[in-house]
This record gives sequence, structure tokens and C-alpha cells, in this order.
Amino acid sequence: MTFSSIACVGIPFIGAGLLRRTKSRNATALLTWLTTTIVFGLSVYFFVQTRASYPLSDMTAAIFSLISAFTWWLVSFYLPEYMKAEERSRSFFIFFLLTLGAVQGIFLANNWIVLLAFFEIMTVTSFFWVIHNQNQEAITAGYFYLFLGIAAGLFIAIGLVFINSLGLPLEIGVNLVSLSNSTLLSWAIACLLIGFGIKAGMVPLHIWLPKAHTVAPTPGSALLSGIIIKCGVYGMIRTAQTINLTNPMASFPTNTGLIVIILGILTMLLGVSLALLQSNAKRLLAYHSVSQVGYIIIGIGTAIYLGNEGSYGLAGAIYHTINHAFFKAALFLGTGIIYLRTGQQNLYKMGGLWRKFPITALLMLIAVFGITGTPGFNGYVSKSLLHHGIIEAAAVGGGLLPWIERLFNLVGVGTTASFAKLYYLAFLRKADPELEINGKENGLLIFPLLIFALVITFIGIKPELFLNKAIILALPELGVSSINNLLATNFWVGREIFNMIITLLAGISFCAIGFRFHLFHYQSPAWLSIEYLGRNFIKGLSYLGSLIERKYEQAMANLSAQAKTCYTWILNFSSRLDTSGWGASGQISFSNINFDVYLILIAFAILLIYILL
Amino acid sequence: MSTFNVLLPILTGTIGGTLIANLRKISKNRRNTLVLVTSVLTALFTWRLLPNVLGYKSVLVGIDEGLRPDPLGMVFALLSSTLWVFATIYSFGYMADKPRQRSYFAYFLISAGVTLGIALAGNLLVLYICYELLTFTTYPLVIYNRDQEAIKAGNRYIIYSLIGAAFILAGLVAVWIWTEGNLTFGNAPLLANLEAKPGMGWIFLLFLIGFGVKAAVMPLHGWLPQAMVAPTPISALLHAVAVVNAGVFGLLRVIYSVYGHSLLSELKVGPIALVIVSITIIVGSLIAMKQDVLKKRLAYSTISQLSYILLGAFTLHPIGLIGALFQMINHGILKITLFFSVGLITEKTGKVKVSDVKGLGPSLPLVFIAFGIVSLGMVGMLPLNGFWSKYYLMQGSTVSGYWPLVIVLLISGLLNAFYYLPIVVSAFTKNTTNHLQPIKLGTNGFLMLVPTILLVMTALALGIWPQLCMPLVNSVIDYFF
Repeated sequence: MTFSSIACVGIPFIGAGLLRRTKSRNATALLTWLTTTIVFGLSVYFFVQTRASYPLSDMTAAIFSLISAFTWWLVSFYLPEYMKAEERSRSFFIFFLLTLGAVQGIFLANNWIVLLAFFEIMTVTSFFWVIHNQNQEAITAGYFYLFLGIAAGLFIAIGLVFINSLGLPLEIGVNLVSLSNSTLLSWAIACLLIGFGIKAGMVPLHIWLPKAHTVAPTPGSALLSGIIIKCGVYGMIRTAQTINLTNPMASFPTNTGLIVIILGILTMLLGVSLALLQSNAKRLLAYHSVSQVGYIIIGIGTAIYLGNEGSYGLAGAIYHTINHAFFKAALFLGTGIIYLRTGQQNLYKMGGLWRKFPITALLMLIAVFGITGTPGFNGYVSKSLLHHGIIEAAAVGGGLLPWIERLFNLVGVGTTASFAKLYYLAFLRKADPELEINGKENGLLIFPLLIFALVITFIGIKPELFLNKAIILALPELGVSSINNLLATNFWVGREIFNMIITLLAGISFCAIGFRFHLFHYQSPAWLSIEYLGRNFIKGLSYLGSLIERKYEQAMANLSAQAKTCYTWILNFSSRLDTSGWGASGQISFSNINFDVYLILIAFAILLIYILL
Repeated sequence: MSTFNVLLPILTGTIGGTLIANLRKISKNRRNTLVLVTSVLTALFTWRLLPNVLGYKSVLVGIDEGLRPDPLGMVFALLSSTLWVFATIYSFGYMADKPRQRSYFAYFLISAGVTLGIALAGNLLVLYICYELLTFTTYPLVIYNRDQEAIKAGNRYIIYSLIGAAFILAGLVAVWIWTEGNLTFGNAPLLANLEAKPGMGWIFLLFLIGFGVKAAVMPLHGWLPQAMVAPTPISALLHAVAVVNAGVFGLLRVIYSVYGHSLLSELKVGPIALVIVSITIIVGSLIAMKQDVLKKRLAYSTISQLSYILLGAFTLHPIGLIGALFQMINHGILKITLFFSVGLITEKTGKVKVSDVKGLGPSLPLVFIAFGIVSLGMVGMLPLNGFWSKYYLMQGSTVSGYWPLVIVLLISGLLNAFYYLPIVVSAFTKNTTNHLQPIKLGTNGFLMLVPTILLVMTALALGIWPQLCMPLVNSVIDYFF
């Protein structure tokens, strides 16, 4: 814990506290911007410091902290301009800063408990982004987000409890598998993966993600998709670190890795196929967050699977996390500009927007190149690393893995198709006459997009720079020490580029076919969705509760009625004994003795027996 | 330590209460001062016992060993006497314009003394007598409203409690016979030197039923939701902390001081009791989801949360017991805060139902924020103290081998989220029918708000520094294991 890392966490909280007192809208915006700038500066300083003291310090944390502070800083330019259109902007600013602090806390924590504490804070504060609009849709999405976030926290807590029950340390970065081989530890790792998987949007726990991203104000969606779900990814990377990666092909890491890879490919496939069917621009982007997180999960999975040899997968996962943060944030912010000026999120009601928003159109095109993996842009870099990883895993493992490699390529086609669809519908096709456009692009709105686009292109052109200066340094401490191959990686291999271009062309033609045959309007039945199941499950639970309560009250009423009857009967019986005609007949017979005489006689009899014996 | 020191907190409460009952002509302010002084003194005298308990761990002689503070008793004594001070301040605000204040405060203080009697009791007989007395001294508080509903609730309370106490008496006699008249709690459990007999399990069942009534173990919980007709400070203190924890405390005593963990694990009552307790946890939460009246929802949540304590205790493992004690402390603090907030809401807006609080958040922001933070604690989120009780309970169940309990705790945590958080969320969402002006709290509202906020801070502090509770909790573990 250095001073700068504590300040990174603390300053946003202080800034949020001060925001309560600001007088004007401008002051609020300025204070927010100032806070994020300071945090960005500090995290740059922290990054440089960490690099200087390498290999003693934690590079992974520094990378994630830097990327999140950078994204936050850029969004803080965009935020005031966007929030002019929204109500209650002050509360959004406050939660914007609080979440920044919490996210920095997650990345800079050196202890699982501290990480979990900030994780929970992050869930709660970002929940307020989701419900910001306060309409029914936002509230529903908010509940999904909150409840699944709490479930995530509980699963992580259970994982930590299991780890602690084995007497293992709760420091982050300890190789737990080398310390114990109990089955409880595998349960612990499973719980941690589930917990962080919920936050990352892993199938089938992704259901909160499309809802929350769609209803949150756009800067919120950009950060949710860019950074918040990466908190889950970060947790999964840290969980992978607890598995002994330097010991290759042990059975436990191999099995875990295979499961994670399969979950990753399912996440990719589901995300991309649902994205193809969306007509709402933000929801489409949200489903792409699911599928892109699938890429990252596959990377982590291959790293676990291959152990010490998994450098491609792990480096690809970290790189893709960063790249996805940039291009997805840019895409959301661009959509936000259109929404702000047209009030429209439905793609089928947009059209011809490149005339009115030429710079946005250009910058979004760069971001689309990024996400589709066009050579020369950042997505290509990380996707080719991930592809390399999965090919290596397939070469070692065989079985299912070659198929997963093919599906991996298929997802690339789907991604291209759905972005071709988005770009065509929004910008290129003929304008919809009913579309009302109020206002133009604006310097503050464009600035973050511009920076993102520059970074996307820069990484695309010089991929080795960030890889060699930062990511590779993080690998050994995560447990992957064989990095020589990675250092010598050449991204400009003809076959890879050719492969990517084929994918792109296939995607565009698939999009054209889709438009021709109206494939993009298919609606899956409601009962198929997990959301439907979840909602009915909760309904069923509360019905069960009321049923039990009713039955209990009935049983108690019955019991008290029975008790009353019993009591009356005993009373009648004893009073009948009491009113027998003692003395009326003048002689003692057994049938007409008084009740109290019975008692006295019995008592005497007992006494007599006691004395005699 | 002299006998008198142990007796002092009990006497302060009971004598103060009796005094209040007989001072008919005193002005309101003077009476309130007297009540405050009494409850603060009670708490101080209890805290004064702490160093001795921590230092010597055992053997503190009271009146013929009738009173004998040990670490376990100290946990309960400190918790209830401290929270009593908060509830007293809250009561001043809540009761300001209500009738029958003299009887209210008199019984309020006497109950404090009697509760401490349970906590500091040195033998089973004193414990039993104080337990019975607590029923009688809190009965007038339950029927405070004096209307049809209150009388009905009071009847139910007293019938349930007395029948339960009869079971305890039967169990007590059995223990008395087995130990040949020795009922004094000590370092070693009462039945430690005896061989396990099958009858012992059945007698334990008697204790479980007897104390289970006040601990609201299902299906003996029926009185608790009904008793919510009492004034809110009473629901807060008695039906979330003192009375219900008296039942739980009684069971802890029976488990660890009368039977002892080794005898009980021989008798194999753990698994059966754990099943009952788990059912209570889940079903209590399920019923709470459907409750529309705020206080009833809290009551069912109490039923569920109290069984957490028993769950920890029945694992018969040191870490489980740590979890149980943490849960006793943390649940007490959290639940009393929830009741305080609900009382404020009801007093200031007249709303008693969950469906009516929609949009009230901006009118009473601090109250709802307090409610929200504390409900997160109930769910078991860091950095609130509720997390630590869940953490140790889960760890206790894992280490003792009852791993399915982890699933029970997980489900219950989620159910907690399902029924608590919508209250806060709906309070802060738009509603056109409710007015949105901030409501002026006034002096009385302020008196109610201050303890609420202080308790929220306590919950946060204990969440960030759980080690604050550790010395006492550890000495309980040392004492019994």
C-alpha cells in the first residue's frame, strides 16, 4: 500500500462528499472533472512507480487502475454535457465519483476481504446509475443488477470462507493450489468464479447486464460496460492466480480451465446471437459486452488450462479487457450523442446520421473497426493473441478444443455482422423522414471519443508497445513465467490478417443476407428466457411463504379450538364428579364419592404404600 | 469482585423502575431525567464488570453463586444494557405525546433489570426465575395500547411464554435430579461427568421447546409477529434484542453450560436441531417477503435471523460459536436500527405499510438512508458488521462438517435482499401521490434520529473493525472450549 494507491481510492470519496455542497451545475461538473483528473494523475504516477520497482510490485493492479482512471477521466468530459438533459444530475455525479473510488479500491486491494468490501460498495453505488431514470423499466433492471450483485458478493464470501476454513491466507496473489489439495479448495475456486462471473456477465448469469446497460444514462452504460464488468474479469484473473499456473497439466487446473473455456465460448455465442436480434442500439452494444467478455473468459480459461505455457491466453485476456474498455466506451458514448440529439435508441428509426454527425460517424467507425478485429485497430491485436492461445490449447488438449477454435471464428463473423447492421441502420442508409434532430455534435461530447479513437488506432498500429512495457511484466506474478514466445510475437503475419479479413467479409455478407431475409426480427418465446424463470421463481417463493404462514395460523386456530374443547370436557367431567349426591343415600359407594374425597383417598394410598415399602 | 457489584446493575434497573412507578406527581422532564440516569447507570455498572470477566475468565462469586457473570453472560448483558440506553433516548422522542408514560417507563426499566438478571444468572434456577419474570414485566408493554388487538396479542404472548416456561421447569427438575441438586454454572458443564443417557436427548428437547418460544424457533414463533402491536421502541428493544435474545441466550446456556458441547455431540442432537433451525431461517424469510406491514416484515426477519445464532451454536464448534455471538451482537444492533427507522417513518408520515412508503425517501432522507445501509448489513454486505457474523457462521458450518448450512445461509442472504431492499428503493423512486417536501423532524424527531444514526455508525465501525468484539468473544470460546 503506497500513498498514491490509497489516495486513488480516497480522493473520489472526498470529492463525492464535497459534491453535496456545490452551488451550481458548473461547479459540480468542474469538481467532478477535477477529482477524476487528480485520480488519473495519481494512477499514472502509481503505474510509473510500479514499473520502476518491478518485479517487487503488482503490475496487474497498476494496469487495471490506470485503465479505469483513464476511462473515468474521459467520461468526465462527456458527463456534464450529457446530464444537462437528465433530472437529478447531482446525485449521478456523486455516485459517479463514489463508484470510481470503489473500483480503484477493488483493483488496488491486496487482500480478498478488502477487495470484497469495495466490490460490494461498487455494486451499491453503480446500482444508482442503473435506476437513475426511475421508470418501471429502470427499476426492474436495477433490481436484477442489485440482486445478482449481492448474489455475487455472497458467492465470493463463501469462496473466501472456504479458503479460510482450510487455514490458507486471504492475501491476493497466493498460489493456493500449491498449499492444499483439498476438494474444499476447488469448491472455493468455483464459488469465486461464479461470484466474479456474475459481475463479468458470464453465461448463464449475464441476465442483469443487457437490462442495466440499456436503461442507465449513457455515460453510466459506457462505464458499466467498459470498467464495471471488468471488475468481475479482474476477480477471475486473480482467481486464476490462486490456481498453480506454473505447474503445467496437473489435473485440477486442466479441468477447471476446460470448464472456464466452455463457459467462455457459451458466453460469446449467446451474447453475439442475441446481439444480432436487437433493434435497440444500447441493448445491441450490451449483448456485445456479453460476447466480448466471453473472449476474455476464454483467454483466462486457456491460461488456466495450459498453465505455465498459457501466456498467449492470459496476455490476450488482459489486452482485450483494456481494448474492450476503449472501443465499447467509445461506441456507447457515440450512441449517447445520437440519443441526446434525436431521443432515439431504436436503430430502425435512425438513418442517414452521418450527414448530421460526421465526426461521430467517423469516430464510431474506428471503434467498430476495433471491436470487429480489423487489422490495424486494437481489437485485432488482442483477438489474435486469444486466437493463438486457443490454437495452442487445441494442439495440446484435442477433444472439444478444436471445435471451440472454429466457434471462436464464427463469433467473429457474428460480431462483424451485427456491427455492420448497426452502422448501416444508423448512419449509412437513407434517413428516416420522421427522425427529429435537435442540436449538433459538441466539442466536449466529441473529445473523449476522439481520444478513444486515437488510442484504438495507436494500439492497432503499435501493438507491441503496451504489451511489452506493461502486460508481459504482469504475467510472471500471475503465475505464467514462460513469456519468451510472447515477447517475439509478430502481429503482422499474413495468414492471421487474411483470416481476419475473411471473417470480416463473411460477417458483412451475413449481414446483407440477414437484411434480405429479415433474420434480425426473430423473437424468442418468453418462457425460454432465464429472466422469466427467475421472476417466477421469486414469485413462487413468496407464494410459498404466504402459504406456510396461512397454514400455520390455521393450525394454531385449530389447536386452540381443540384445547378449548378439551378444557370444557375436563371441566364438565370434574364438575359431574363434584356434584354427586354425597350423603344423600347415606352410605359410601364407589359411584357417589366426592371428587376431593377421591383425591384424599389416593394421596393416603400413595403415602401408605410409600411408608410400607 | 464483591457480590454487590454484580447485583448493582440489576438493582439499578428494577429499583429505578419501581421508583418511577410510584412517583405520580413528578414533572415529565424530571421523570425523563430519572429514566435516563437509571438506564445510563445500568449500562455503566454492566460495563464495569467487563474487565474482571476478561481478566479472570471464570469464578466470579455472586450472591451464593446465584449471580455470576461469565463471558457468555457478559455478551448478552453488555449488548442489552447498552442498547437500552439508545432505546431510552428514542423512547423520549417517541412517547412524548402519548398517554400512560409512567407505566411505560416503569416497566421499561424493570425489564432492563430482569434481562440483566437472566444474563448474569449463576445457576439454572435463577435463570429460570428471571426468564419467567421477564414475561410478566414485558406483558404490560405489549398490551400498552389497551385495545382489542393489543389484548389479543398479549394473551398469545403470555400463553406461549408460560407454556414454554413449564417445559423449562420440567427440564430443570430433570437436570436437578441428575446432578443431585447442583445447578450452578461453572467452567465445566453441569452434566459433564455423567454418562450419556437416551433420556438426556428428550430433556434437551424440553429445553429447546421452552427457550425456543422466546427465541421464536418455528413453529413456536406465533406470538412474535402479533406482539408488533406494541409501541415501536418496545418492538425494537424487546422483540428484536432483549426478550428474543433471552430465549436464545437460555439455549446457549443449556447447550454450553448445562450439557456441554462434547455431551451434546455424543447425544447427536446437533443435526436434528440444525434442521429445525434451517427451516426456521428459510421459512421465516419466505414469509417475510409477503408481509406488507413494515413491522411484521421486520418481525419475520427477526425470526429468521435469531435462528442464525442457534445455527452457529448447534454446530458445537468454536468458530460456529464465534459466529453465533457475532450474530447476536450484530443482529441486535442492526435490527434495533431498522425498527427505529420504521418508528420514525410511521410517526412522521403515518405510513405503516411497505406499499405506502413509495416516494417518501426525499421527505425523510436520513431515515431512509439509515434504513438502506442497515438493510445491506442484514443481507451481509461489507463494510457492515452483518458480514462478519455470516462469515464466521459459514466458516463454523464448513469446519464442523455441516457444509449444507452454507447454502442455507446463502439462500437466506438473498431472501433478505429480496424483502429489505425494495423498501428503500421504492422510497427513493418517483411517486406523484406523496408530497415531496422534507418533513420537519422537530425535537422529538431529533431525539429519535440521533440514536438511529449513532447505531448506523456503530454498525459501520464494527464492520470495519470486527476485532473490537474479539476480546470478549474469544474469552467465551476459551471459557467453553
